[in-house]
Amino acid sequence: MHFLNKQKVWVFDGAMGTMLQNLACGNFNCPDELNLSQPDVVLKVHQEYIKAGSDIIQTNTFGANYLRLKRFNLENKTYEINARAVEIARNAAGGKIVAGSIGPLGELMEPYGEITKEEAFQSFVEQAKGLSEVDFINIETVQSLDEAEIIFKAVRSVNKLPISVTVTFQKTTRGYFTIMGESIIDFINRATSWDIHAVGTNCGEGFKQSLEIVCEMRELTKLPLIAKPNAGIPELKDGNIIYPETPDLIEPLIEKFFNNCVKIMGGCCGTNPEHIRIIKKIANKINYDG
Amino acid sequence: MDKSKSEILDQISELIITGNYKLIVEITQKALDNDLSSDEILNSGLLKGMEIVGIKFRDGLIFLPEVLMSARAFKAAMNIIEPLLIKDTKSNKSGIGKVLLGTVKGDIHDIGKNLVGIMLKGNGFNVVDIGVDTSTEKFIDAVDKECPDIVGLSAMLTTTMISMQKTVQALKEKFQNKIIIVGGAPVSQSFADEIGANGYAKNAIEAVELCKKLLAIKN
Repeated sequence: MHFLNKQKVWVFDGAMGTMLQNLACGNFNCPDELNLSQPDVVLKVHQEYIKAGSDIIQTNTFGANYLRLKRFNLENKTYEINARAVEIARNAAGGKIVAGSIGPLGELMEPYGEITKEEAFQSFVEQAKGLSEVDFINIETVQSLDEAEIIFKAVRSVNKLPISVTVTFQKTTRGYFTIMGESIIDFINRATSWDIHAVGTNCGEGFKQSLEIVCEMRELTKLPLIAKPNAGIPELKDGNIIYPETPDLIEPLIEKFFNNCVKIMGGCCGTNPEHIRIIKKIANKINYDG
Repeated sequence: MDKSKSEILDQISELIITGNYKLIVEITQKALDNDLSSDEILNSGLLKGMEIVGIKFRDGLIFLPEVLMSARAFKAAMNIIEPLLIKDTKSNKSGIGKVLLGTVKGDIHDIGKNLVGIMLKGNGFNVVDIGVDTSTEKFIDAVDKECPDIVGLSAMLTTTMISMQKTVQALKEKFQNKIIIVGGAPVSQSFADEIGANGYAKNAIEAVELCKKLLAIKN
């Protein structure tokens, strides 16, 4: 990710899934499929983020691995859904950076579940082939380091694109762990044995916890850090689902992320272009004034 | 109970905690050969072990992999004693309660729901799983047919939280006193309260505690 040296800090995009829910026509079960049936809606989400100030946008391919698409009988469209997603993102990005999103299988692998490691590997190989025209691959919402390693190897088997990995941690009384029981140190140790270009955290339980996590990571690695927190745990207000961490609430925290070495800052579930606008405002201060 | 019997039961608990799904088969058989009843093996061995697993998980000492291995060991032992439990009149009440589980309409995620099912079974509950993308009508029909003590709804997406709300309301109208619990990544206690559910659990282990608590209150 040589481009990273060109600016002090970079602005990622915000949520895709929760934005699509508001914009897409009708109900949909598979957000990745919208790349084929409603590409204009996906394009609009990307454009909104570019307008809000994103330097990097991410393809609408979080769940577009072979096995996950199979649940919707779309497995034979794995390549097409991913390749089309890259085209749509490129269209919106102009000269901006496009990251290829790869999320988890959504099922447990052996010995805890039915999926074999080989099946998982092949599932991500199919996805990686479709994403070959992006600037880098972002493996995100990692909840199992074994699975992340399989995704990493699957991407590497297809091409030499730069790869970043962001993990979702849960806070316990003993600190932050993945649901599989892996700590931040476990992640950094493992990730440094892979040839990756950036590490970080995404989703989780809001901006405050995300900040705590990146502060721990900063002590453990010199790799560029990525933070993409969600806007807290959603609540029901007057019949609508709302995320509690609104743009004005997160503003005081953004500077702290950048002060703690976060190189790329965006948002996950429940964040929208308004969150990105705030992040951009602070990023601009750092890039141009500071 | 003589010492050798209680030692065997302790060993069974320990094999549950360590998730040794191979050795537990042998030791469970040994317990039966030593005249321990299926009921004793279940309550003083298997369930006692699962209870400790729950405590360790709650305290962040173990995580999902360990819990899943314990559940696997539980299942292996249950395969041996289940046929005997049914014969044993003392414990013939199909578990400590019946829970019906489903993921709400528009949502196909099921890891969380399946884990809740595994853990409930592993703690002596009778579980009926009606799958994913479940319409309100399907929930109502299933409750009519199965007559569960508790209905558990799962949702992973923000949009399907609205489906959850609708289904909970419909179930509450149709079955006034039915206990309804909810869970899933975007779900919280305040959301559960807001939509009129009787309980919320953050994870599968808490779901077991919640079901036990709600049934204790009811009984």
